[in-house]
Amino acid sequence: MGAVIELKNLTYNYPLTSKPAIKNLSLSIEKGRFYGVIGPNGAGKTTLCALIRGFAPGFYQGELKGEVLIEGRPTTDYAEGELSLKIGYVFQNPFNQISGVKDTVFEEVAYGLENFGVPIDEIEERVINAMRLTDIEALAMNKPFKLSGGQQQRMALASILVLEPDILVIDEPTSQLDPEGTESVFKVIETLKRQKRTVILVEHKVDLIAEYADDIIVLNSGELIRFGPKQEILSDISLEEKGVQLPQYAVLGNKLREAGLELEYIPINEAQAVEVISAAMRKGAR
Amino acid sequence: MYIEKIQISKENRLEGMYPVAKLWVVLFYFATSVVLASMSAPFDGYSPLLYLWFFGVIVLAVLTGISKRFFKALPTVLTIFIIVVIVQAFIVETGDSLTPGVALWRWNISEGFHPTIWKYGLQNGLRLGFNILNGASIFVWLFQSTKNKELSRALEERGMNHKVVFVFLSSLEMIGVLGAKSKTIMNAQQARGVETQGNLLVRAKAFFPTMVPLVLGSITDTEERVLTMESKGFNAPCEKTHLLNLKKSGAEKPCVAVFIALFAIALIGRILMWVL
Repeated sequence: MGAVIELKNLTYNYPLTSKPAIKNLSLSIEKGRFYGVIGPNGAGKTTLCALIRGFAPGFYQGELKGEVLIEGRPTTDYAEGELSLKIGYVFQNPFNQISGVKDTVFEEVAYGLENFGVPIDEIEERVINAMRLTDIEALAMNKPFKLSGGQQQRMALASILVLEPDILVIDEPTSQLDPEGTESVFKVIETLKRQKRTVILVEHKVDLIAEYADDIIVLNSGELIRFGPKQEILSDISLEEKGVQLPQYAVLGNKLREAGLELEYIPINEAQAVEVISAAMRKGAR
Repeated sequence: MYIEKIQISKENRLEGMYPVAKLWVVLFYFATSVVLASMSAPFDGYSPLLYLWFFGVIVLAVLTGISKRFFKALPTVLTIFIIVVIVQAFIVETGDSLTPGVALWRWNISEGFHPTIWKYGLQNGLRLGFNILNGASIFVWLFQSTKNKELSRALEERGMNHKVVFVFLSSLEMIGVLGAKSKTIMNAQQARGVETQGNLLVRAKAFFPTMVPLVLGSITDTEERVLTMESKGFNAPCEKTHLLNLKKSGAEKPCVAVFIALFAIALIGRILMWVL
């Protein structure tokens, strides 16, 4: 598969700052893959997303060195609104993603299509599909501000998915949600993965990243410190020293190895942990 | 299916009037109020026609079929009216320093302290109060009979820039949202030991711990809101689609004509009073 996003030697400073938020970062994002972005607070995860989407330096201003290419074209070459159809962006706070000018969930989800002048007949069908995908069709006639956090975040996802973007950037979608809301959002993310969409997901809940991502991007102090398949990255205990949180299964696996249990590999999710630990225990019992 | 559901249909023809026609009613009602306020000479300085004009908006609200909602929203406006009248009546003694004030009623509580209702102050207070009451009440009628999205859609149809309409509509919608948010902040502050319930002094003390997070939070939220709008193609340079279709009820022309006629009568009456 070809690269849909290419970041070439990116260095970015927010206005009035001397320390770059992103330092000399090069990266290639392939179509149809699911990328998890992890790293400690202040690592530059949100800035990376903003650079990909063109919000930086577009909205934030600041100084950018290097290039961000979307399907081979620099983000700066895209016309106003054009990038919205290429890259969907979902933010942390579900409340702030409500336009505030629509009375119902249906209208809120349809808002983007109205802005792009999509014909009315097409809007209804696309909105229904997006609401079904995010499991909010039953809430179609409810008021957006009256929804729970999880429902609002799914509505935010629907509002972006309805535009059918090629790439989806999701920045900590569950950071302000309770466990139930988190689960409902990740069900949608699971569907996106099944549909082979290109997704870049920033998330502190690494156990969930371990479940869904294909590749992991690890940032620290604005630098790309690791990039590769999730199994390789998330099982590397040395990342913990750099403030990067690892899945609890990986931490357990490493500790069991230290304690002398011969594990075939370091597990990063529940299924792997069950498989590898039970295999090691069977081996030990013999 | 859903597009049909979100359309607005109203049985009452006055309530279902096209929002721009309602804006004309508001304009002529208020203009008539201003003209009537100046017709005080034959009535010893009072403006009884202005006071009677207030019943115009009540009749309009009843005919529009929104009397329940209208009267529910009215107490706030009435409170302002009462405060204005009382303050003016007790404080404003005369219009100029040469003419002595005429006391209508005096309460001799003690030597040196005798609250007085002044004729000039009462006339002034009533005139100012009824102008406020009439102006605010006609807006209460407008907003109780028209949904915000109807009004903004109509303004956009009349050529107003969609960005201006968005600011107008989101500001109206945010009033309720900020109210709910301030309640949440007050509950949170209460949980931290800040007293938010009680007399005026206690409430005044709670003002800053409540308002500061509300205002600062709203400012910081703006950034994410702007970017969200950008993600939804708000600035896309193309013709927008509108799901909401406004229809005319047929009462627009007669209703606006009545208010223009009433304004014309008031204006002619004022001119005649001036000439004669």
